Amino acid sequence: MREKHLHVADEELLLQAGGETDPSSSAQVQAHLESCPQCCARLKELESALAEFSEAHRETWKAELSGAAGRRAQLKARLAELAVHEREQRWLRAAWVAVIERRQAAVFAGVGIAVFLLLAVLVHGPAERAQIMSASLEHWEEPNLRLTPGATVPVTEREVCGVAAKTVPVVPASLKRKVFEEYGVTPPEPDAYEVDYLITPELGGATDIRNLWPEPYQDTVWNAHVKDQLEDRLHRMVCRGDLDLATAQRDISTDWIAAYRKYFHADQPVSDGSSFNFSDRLLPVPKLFTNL
Amino acid sequence: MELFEELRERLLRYLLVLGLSVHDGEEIIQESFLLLFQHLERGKPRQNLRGWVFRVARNLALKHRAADRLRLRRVVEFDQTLPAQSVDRSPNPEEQLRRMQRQQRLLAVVHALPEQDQSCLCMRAEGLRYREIAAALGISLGSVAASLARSLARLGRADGG
Repeated sequence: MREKHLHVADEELLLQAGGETDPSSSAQVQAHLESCPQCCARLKELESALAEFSEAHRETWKAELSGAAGRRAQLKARLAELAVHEREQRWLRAAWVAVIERRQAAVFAGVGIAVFLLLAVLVHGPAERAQIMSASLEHWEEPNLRLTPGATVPVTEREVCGVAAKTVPVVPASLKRKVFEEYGVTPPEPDAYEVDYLITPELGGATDIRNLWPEPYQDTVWNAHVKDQLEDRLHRMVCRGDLDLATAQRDISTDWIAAYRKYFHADQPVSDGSSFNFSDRLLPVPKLFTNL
Repeated sequence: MELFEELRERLLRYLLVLGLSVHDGEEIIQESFLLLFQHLERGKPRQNLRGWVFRVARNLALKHRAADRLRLRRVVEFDQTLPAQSVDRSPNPEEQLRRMQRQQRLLAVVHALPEQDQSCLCMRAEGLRYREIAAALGISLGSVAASLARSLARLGRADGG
């Protein structure tokens, strides 16, 4: 057994082996290693454990890694599509800037509107100000039913309650972009919205633009996490036979907030969904879109 | 595309450990690289892009996992897939069985680790440097090393037991 106070700690050994120790500590650790067979042996043990895990890890997933060429081609196609989209966005921005620069009257009009809004906020007080400030976000607590009426695939109760039906497929990036465009969320901020299914696939919802909308994650009371609670409850009720699938689909697609109130017997969310709120554990995705 | 070539398999293995299906893992990798494209197009920093891609992919994966609430599928499946993958590498059936049991023991330990420890270990096994892992997870170098030391000690105990 190594006497810890006389030897280098495991984490220091690992940092040294990885070349990440600062120069002064590195020299000390190196000097110790040259004179301490126990620490050398310990470092070998750690490296050997890592090498063994790495091999097992690669071996386990070897069969899953086929199709590289297809995925490369798919990414190339998506990148090309995105590049066109980015060019269009740049062109629109440039055109807008040009219009503003050439027409000073537009600037004055803009200033006038801003002054008007400020006065309106001051006159109407804090509550109305909050309402005005958050209007654009709260608008999508519920989808625009003209854009997102809901779409389903033909499934039975038995199928949606089977094991295979429990996977909610990832919405492809290209489809997400179309949803954001359709709702005028330009540019999308990855942490702010979930492109959510109006009728969840767990209830037979389709991966179709008519069934998707950009739902806020955190900034409203009726957010994506709360809707997840409703989806869970409806799925359980359908699978227990307490509710038929068609009613569940109709209620959640007509007005999911009303459906929540109906099935939870509550005017407000019973919790904010934090029981499975991974956002608390997430790091912020770097803000990619703030330049726009 | 070079970075995609370099990282696709590494990312996919990592996402599979986090519990995603191959299809969802591939979609998240594609989305991460589309975000990287936008990141670079807008003149954002180019340092530590490997850590950046792993960070974005992890965030997307955890969000998807939270939405999907299907955590255990891969854990169950790895037990079923491992024997088939190990068949042709071992010199004899006994050696093959011993090897397979050892791998399963190691992987079972990893699946029982907290998500951050799993991530540190998998990213290191995929060849990321400590500073890249630290950037991907938003923690210090010391925390990465401490997490790895903890996980490797557990693996060592499992291997000995």
